[in-house]
Amino acid sequence: MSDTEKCFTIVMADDDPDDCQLLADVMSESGMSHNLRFLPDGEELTDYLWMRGRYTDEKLAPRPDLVLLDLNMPKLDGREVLRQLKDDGFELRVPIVVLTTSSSKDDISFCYDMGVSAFITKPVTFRAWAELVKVLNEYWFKLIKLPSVD
Amino acid sequence: MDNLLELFRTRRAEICDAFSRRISGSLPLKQGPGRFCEDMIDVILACHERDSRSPAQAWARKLAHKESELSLEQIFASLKCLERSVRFHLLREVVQKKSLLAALAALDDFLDLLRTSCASVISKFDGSAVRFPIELGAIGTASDDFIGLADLQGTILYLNEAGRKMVGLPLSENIEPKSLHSFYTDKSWQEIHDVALAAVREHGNWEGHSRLKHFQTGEEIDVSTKVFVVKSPQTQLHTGLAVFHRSGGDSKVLEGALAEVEARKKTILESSLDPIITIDHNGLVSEFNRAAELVFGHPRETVLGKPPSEVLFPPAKIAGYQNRIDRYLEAGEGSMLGKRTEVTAIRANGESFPAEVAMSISQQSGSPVLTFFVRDISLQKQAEEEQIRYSAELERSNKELERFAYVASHDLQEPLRKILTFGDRLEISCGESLEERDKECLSRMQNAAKRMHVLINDLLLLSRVTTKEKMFERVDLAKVVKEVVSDLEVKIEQTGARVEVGKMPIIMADAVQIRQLFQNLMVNALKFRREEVLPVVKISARFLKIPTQRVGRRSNADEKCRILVEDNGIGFDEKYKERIFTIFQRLHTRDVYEGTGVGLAICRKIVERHNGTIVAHGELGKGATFEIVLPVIPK
Repeated sequence: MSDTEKCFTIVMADDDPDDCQLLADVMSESGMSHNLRFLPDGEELTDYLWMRGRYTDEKLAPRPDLVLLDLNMPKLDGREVLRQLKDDGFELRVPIVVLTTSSSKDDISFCYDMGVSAFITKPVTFRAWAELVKVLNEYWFKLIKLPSVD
Repeated sequence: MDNLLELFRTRRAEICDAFSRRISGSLPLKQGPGRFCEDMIDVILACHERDSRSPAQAWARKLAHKESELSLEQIFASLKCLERSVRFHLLREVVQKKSLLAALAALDDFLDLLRTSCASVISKFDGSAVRFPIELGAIGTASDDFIGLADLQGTILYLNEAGRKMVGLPLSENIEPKSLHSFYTDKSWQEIHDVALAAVREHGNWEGHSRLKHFQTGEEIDVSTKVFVVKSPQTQLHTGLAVFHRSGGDSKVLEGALAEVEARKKTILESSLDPIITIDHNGLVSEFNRAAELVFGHPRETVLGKPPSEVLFPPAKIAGYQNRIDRYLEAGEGSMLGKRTEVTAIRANGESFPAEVAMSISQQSGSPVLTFFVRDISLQKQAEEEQIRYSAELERSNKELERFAYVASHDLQEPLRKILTFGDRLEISCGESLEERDKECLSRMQNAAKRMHVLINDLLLLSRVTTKEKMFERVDLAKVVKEVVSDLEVKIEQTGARVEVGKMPIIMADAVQIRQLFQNLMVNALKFRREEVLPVVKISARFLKIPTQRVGRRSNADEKCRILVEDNGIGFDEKYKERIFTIFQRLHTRDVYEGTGVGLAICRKIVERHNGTIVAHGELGKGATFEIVLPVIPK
């Protein structure tokens, strides 16, 4: 299996079903067949990452290659998730890309302080979404070496 | 005594002024009345300091030499004049009866000293025969005192009018054959003869009390007495006696004056709108004026003689207050003395109220007395509290509004983004299959949604200006402007604009916001250009003069700088100069000039957040100028 065709696991933590659907649609329309997992809030994400609750079985909950994280979510929001990851997530070694509606300077600074790999403000047009997914795919799965890849 | 000396020191100028006015050129003084009065005061002070008569005598000799045209009568008249000026001040300024009496007595002594010094020098003597200057006869009109002159044998030679009046001798009656003896009761004469005259021979003067006898009624009159020896200036031999008497009647004048002071005090006390309460040395209320009755609701009688802590300022409300009052009464000192202090007072109906109290301590018949000046500040307090509550409420609602704007615009973005995204998707997927008219509908919808997106973004930006935490740092405006110009390079090139930047200061500010400010103003200047001329944007700044600027050291706490951003664009009608700063207010339609009408509103908010001001001046078709005044270090 060549790298280009390789199937990666992407976990997207976002409470907005439209955006989740949008990402899935754009990916399939662009011919990508990555393993997409959608989680509705920060609690589900931390359970997933630390293999707790429903996510203890690695076969049912495969280790993520990339996490897309929304900031404003119910229960546990993205900022809190980042704080927990900074404190205890050292061994997880998973790149976090923040994908949010926010474009505020404070949020951006905070996220990079917490050690995220990238901060992206959600696009406004469909075309821009398509471009975003294309670039993400090129960068994370083709250009660079991920820690999860042997 | 101290009061008198103090008066001479502090009120010298006023006394001399009053003296000059009273004397008003009637004396042929070579040196001018003010100077003359100054001299007299100096002499008095010198006599006191050295505890000696010699300064007075030296003064008199100098006077006889220098002002030889001056008659004794005129000198006495001027002394009288000085006395009046000083008494006027004493009566006005010394409230305590005891102190006032002491000061007036001291004044008498000093003036007597001056009078006798003059009399002894200026009276011309002719060998053994005593001959008093003719002017002496006129002294009578100048003095209310008994002034008599006698030879060394005790034969009276002269008696002034006041003296005649005192003992009931009509002016018509000749005094020459009378002996001093006949003026006094036997007992009193005995004393004068044995004690006074002996002392006069020994020391030159005697002071004491004696008893005169009225020639007509035989009535005995108590008087204070001064006897001086009269010397010949040439031979220094004793040639006669000068006798001064002041009757007790004078104290009636004094009492009248005191009564007047007392009455005035009473009037002030009773007409005062604020309560005045005095506490005697036992710590009991001794005075309670009408205003106090009204404010506290207690009739005067029920409060007098009670401790204030029992009825007016309950100790439960003000712990240790009574103790402090006691301390003031004992030591005359304390932290509250002379200062305004807020205390809780209580009315007759049990209602407590905030009061402002000023205290002063004074002496009354030797005992310390505390006077409380009380002001009921419950209304002020209420107004103050209301003011505080109101501004807190205002601040809260402002904050809420800002927060609301932020949250609302943030949450509005979400559905809008969806409309845009899915509209875009629809356009892509079925744009080809749509009718031309439907396509246009979709495109109009998309445009409207985009515009709303921009509006909301701007609104968000505006609300962030104030919701953001204040982080002021050193900002080099020259650098900021340079960056903004570089950011707008493309636009500047496109429009062919020229940007002139003057010397810019360094200030304490929010760097991001200041950058936003200049960016918005620059964008505006370039946007509203005139087609027919190349745009010129001038940015300049200068420090404003601080009115209280100290020489050599610039205190930049209040320093301000003024920044001008001028353009030669389309300008605007001056009547809109306020409106342009209002959010979403625009002067042009969107198809002519793009924009949401938020840029200048943001500018104003930023400037106000820095405690500055921004105003606009414009002329249609000529250009616009934005004037910003910013504190160099915002508080």
